[in-house]
Amino acid sequence: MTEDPTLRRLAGANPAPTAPLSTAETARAEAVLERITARPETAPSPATSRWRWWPRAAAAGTALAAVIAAGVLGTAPASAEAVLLEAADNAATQPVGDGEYWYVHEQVVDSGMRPDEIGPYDREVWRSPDTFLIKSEESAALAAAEHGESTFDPSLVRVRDLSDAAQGGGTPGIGGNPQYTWDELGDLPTDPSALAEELTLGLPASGHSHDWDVWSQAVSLLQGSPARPELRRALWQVLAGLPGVELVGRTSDSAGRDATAIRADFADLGREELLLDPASGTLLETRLSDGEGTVLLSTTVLDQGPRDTAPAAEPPLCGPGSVPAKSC
Amino acid sequence: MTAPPDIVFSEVFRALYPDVLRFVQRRTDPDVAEDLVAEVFAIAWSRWADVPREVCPWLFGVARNVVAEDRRSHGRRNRLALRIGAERDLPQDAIALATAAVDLHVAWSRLSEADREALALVAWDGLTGREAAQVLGCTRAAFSVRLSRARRRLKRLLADIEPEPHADPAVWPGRGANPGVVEGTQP
Repeated sequence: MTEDPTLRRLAGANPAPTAPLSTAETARAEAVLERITARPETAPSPATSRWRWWPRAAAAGTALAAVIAAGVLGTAPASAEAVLLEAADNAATQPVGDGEYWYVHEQVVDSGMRPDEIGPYDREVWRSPDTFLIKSEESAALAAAEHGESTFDPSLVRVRDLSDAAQGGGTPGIGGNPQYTWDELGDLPTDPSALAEELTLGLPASGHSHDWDVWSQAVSLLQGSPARPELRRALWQVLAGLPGVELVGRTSDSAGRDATAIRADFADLGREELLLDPASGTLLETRLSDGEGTVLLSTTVLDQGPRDTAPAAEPPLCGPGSVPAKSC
Repeated sequence: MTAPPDIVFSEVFRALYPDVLRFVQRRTDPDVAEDLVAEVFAIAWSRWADVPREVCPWLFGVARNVVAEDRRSHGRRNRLALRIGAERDLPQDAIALATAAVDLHVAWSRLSEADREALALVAWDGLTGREAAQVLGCTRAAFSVRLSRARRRLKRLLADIEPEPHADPAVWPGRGANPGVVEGTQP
């Protein structure tokens, strides 16, 4: 199950190993199914309304302010706050494309799951208000790592359709915790104070600090969401307002792109480093490490933006008649 | 295009019932496990229109809440207990086997509930980090850190308890017949 001797040993002491149902269990399960489905299913919730794409150009006043700010701060920012505010202003001026889908292409190296790191593996997502298509190499990379192999079988990687449109629900949400619908994302305020408050409204207790919750959600939205330029500016401003964020300096990300690194320490979680391009307000990479400096999870955003097309979903690996949600 | 909801639900029920049952059996008394699983799927049925397509982690999350509620209502202990004596990859010598099983049990019992949950989701429930994060309602990053620390703590607890692999268990301090008699290999 795993190459980690400790986890493998633990797996061997599984109190209820996954196994097919006994004949008696199957009979009882079928009775439960009959009893449950004898009751009427509840009505589906209303489908979300169409996403409103943001205007194609940022407001002229905002752009002017950004140019002025970039001129003042663009030479050699001396603090994390200055870098983040520069990124904020420049994010607001970025041209906005058009397309039916929001596409995100990330590369992940995961060292937190096993002693031998998993990846790098790629993950591509195509979103629209009604669609969520994902092509992730994670499971294939994990399976390879479990066999001590560094390469994985590409035939195991499929485009999966996780849209809920057929069942009347919404597509998987946007953001980390909580998740937003497209409309909710569009309604998020662009005033940084109001946004910081909004980001933690209705937030399930994460068990970590309030600053982590705000940081985590803002980073998640910058990393892989169709947040409009004004919202991206506010998200960077929210990060700039958090205490304890430090400037690391100039570096390059895993894809070799020039970047500026900042970092924040969270007592109970460890450290997260953000590699960004302040000139475009683009988040390039996140590196989460534990208190001892070991990088546990590194995510590099290789591409992000609108697209006109998305690939067709591919049949699940289990073959016809299988349940897409069931890993097999 | 839309399949009749009861057929889709039935397929998912039959595909995932065994996994949910084992998930619950790992966390509660065996005699109530099937009742709780029935409650999990009743909740899923009542919310079927809004259940995410990636239903497995969602069901595990519901199951976790149902087990926790049952525990609160009836004063049951959180189990997540090891199956003693069933470990693989251990020396076949019966004494060493029994000793190692007890060591793992002791180390496991010293972990916090949060650590045990993180480890169990991966080692027993077979979830990926992303799925486990969904079950716990935390971010993927937070789970990664949580799992890493839990794994490290378990490893350290085991190292504190156990002798070096080539040390003789019979002379391991605190456990052997001759405490303090070591062969220069103790941590």
